[in-house]
Amino acid sequence: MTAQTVPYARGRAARQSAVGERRGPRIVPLIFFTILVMAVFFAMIFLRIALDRSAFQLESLERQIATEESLQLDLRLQLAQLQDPLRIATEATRMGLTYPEDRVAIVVDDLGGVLIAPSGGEPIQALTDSLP
Amino acid sequence: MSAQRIWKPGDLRLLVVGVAFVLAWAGIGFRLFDLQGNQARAAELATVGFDQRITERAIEPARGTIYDRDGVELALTIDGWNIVVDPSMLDDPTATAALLAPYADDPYEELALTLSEGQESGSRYAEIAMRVDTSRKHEVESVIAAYNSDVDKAQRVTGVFYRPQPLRVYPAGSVASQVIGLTSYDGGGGIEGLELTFNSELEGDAGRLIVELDPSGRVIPQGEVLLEPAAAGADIVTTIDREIQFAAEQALRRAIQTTGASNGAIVVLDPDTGAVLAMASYPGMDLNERSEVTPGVLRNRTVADMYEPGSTLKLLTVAAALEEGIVTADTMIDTPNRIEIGEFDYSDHGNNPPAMRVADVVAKSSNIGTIHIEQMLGRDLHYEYLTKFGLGGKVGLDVEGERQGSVPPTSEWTATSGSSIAIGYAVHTTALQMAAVYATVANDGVWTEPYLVKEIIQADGTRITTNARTRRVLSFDTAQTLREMLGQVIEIGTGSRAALADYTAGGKTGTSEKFDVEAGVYSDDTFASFIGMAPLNDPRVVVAVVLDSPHGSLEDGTSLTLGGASAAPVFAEVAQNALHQLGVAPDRD
Repeated sequence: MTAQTVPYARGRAARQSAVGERRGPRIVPLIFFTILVMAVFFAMIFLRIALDRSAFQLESLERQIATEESLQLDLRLQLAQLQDPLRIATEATRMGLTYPEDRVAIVVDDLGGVLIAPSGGEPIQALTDSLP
Repeated sequence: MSAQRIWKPGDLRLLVVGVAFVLAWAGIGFRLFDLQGNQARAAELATVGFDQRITERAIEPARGTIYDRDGVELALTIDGWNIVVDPSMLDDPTATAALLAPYADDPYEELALTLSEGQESGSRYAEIAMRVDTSRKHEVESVIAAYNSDVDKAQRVTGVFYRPQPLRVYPAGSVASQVIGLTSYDGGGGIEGLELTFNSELEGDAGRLIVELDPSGRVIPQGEVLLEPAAAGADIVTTIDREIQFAAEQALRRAIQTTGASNGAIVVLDPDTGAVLAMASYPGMDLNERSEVTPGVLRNRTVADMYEPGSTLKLLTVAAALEEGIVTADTMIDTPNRIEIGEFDYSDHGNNPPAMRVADVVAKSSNIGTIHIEQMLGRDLHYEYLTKFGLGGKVGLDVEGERQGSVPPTSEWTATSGSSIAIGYAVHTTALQMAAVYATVANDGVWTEPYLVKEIIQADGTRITTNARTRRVLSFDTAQTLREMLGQVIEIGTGSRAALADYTAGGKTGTSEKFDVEAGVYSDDTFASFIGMAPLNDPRVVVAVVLDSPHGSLEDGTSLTLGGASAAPVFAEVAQNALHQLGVAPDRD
């Protein structure tokens, strides 16, 4: 008996014969694997973008903090400048305010202090009446 | 039998592509091996690559704030900027100069020249305004934005940048300028006053930020980052009361304008604690106007200027004699018109009776009487009390430039030293040292080390509080007797112009002739001083006033060279204001 070569299969028939019955079971995991790889790929991209976005947000917040801190310093400066005794004295002089010539002192023992004010002032009497 | 192989054109293409791929990967592999397989070169290239991506930025620490005793800022650091232009990026330097001239340090002509020349020479850096605050920076940004919105893209102003430059600002301007001092112009360390003394505490420690940059110089968000935060400087809380300081400075300024004195100093102490409530020197300056800085203007004369205290030192001689039981307030002391000791003649101003009580010796400021008391005391005890009261050594105040004064040791005393020192000559003191002597009497005989810094608040919130050194020098009874004598100085003695409207007070006048170093003799100029305390029964403030070379006279003809005429009224004004500010109840109708 003489051995014969298997005829060279051509076209679709050949591919069918080459994979035979196993074509169905092998393509499903391949597709699944491909989808998985793509999902992981996109997930990584998404995570990277999310991280970058967070970093930018963080940077933005830090800039905002710096701006607010700068503003707070400016406000502290303005407040201190407003309390400048020279400014207050100049302003008081401009408004015609002077030290009272005649003073009375009301010693408030409970408060441990003293109030010095022009004599005969009604508001001072009202103040002492309101004290415990 | 062999398998039949049939080549087709597609197979050949595949082969070519495959070979190309293999060669390409082989090339890459070879290059990788070439770059990384060679250890020495790999390390070098890794370093180069690291350096290209990684940059280190210094993080400047925030300089600490200096506060007054009520927590009001005397010095603080805010964000500031230097405005920088890249001339090579300008389309029209003259138009840019016209736009920015109102905000630049130089006038338009100079600015236009700078930018034009910079553009021609290819310069990329021109600082046009230094140390502007954030609001000013926003103004510049707005002006540029408004301009750019009105012109073509090619004509827009670009190339204007803002380089951070922290600004040290002093909200109270000239108030306590000599105490606070200054930092260097570039925002660096302190160069005067507390800014210098506490520079290491105020400046903090610099940090650093190591970041990975992209080729455009932007920070790569997920790149390598190493952050070592800067440690902010500590805050300094002083004992200065801004209102009392202001009142003292105003009173000193008026006194110097009235008397024509060349300069002066005032110290206000809380005798119970040793806290310095005010230290005024004249002349002063607005710390925000550096152009006003001239030699001597930042000199804290209360600790840096020494003078012979004159009659204010008589109190110490009498205090020592009282404490040692050598005299009492009523002991009679011979007071002839003049006495001769060694080569010197000593005399009194005016006509005193031939003998006076010790209390009257103080009230009338008798030189002869005080010298007799000193002779009874003896040089050793005299010297012992001079040092006990802190003379001849620094009081330990926390400021640069404090002088310790001089008290010669008894081994160097001549026949006249004791007499001269008894009446305030031959020793050199500062205004603060003399204030501390009187604060001892005010504090029932306990000498308390004056201090200027109440506490240091570190960045982590830790507070370091000052605890002043104290020592008893006099007994309670001696101190009380001395206060009564000082009250008499104002009631019936040489210090009548030091009387306060609302409070009882006591103090001592002082007038010492100024030694002319070049001529080697005492001149007609004087140091006029008054040191006192109020209220007398429970002193809350001690005020020392020293005027250098006042001249002229009052309407009644009294010479302003005398402490009782020129310095005493200043004491009254400052003490009254200070007591009102402290809320002390008046004890006088």
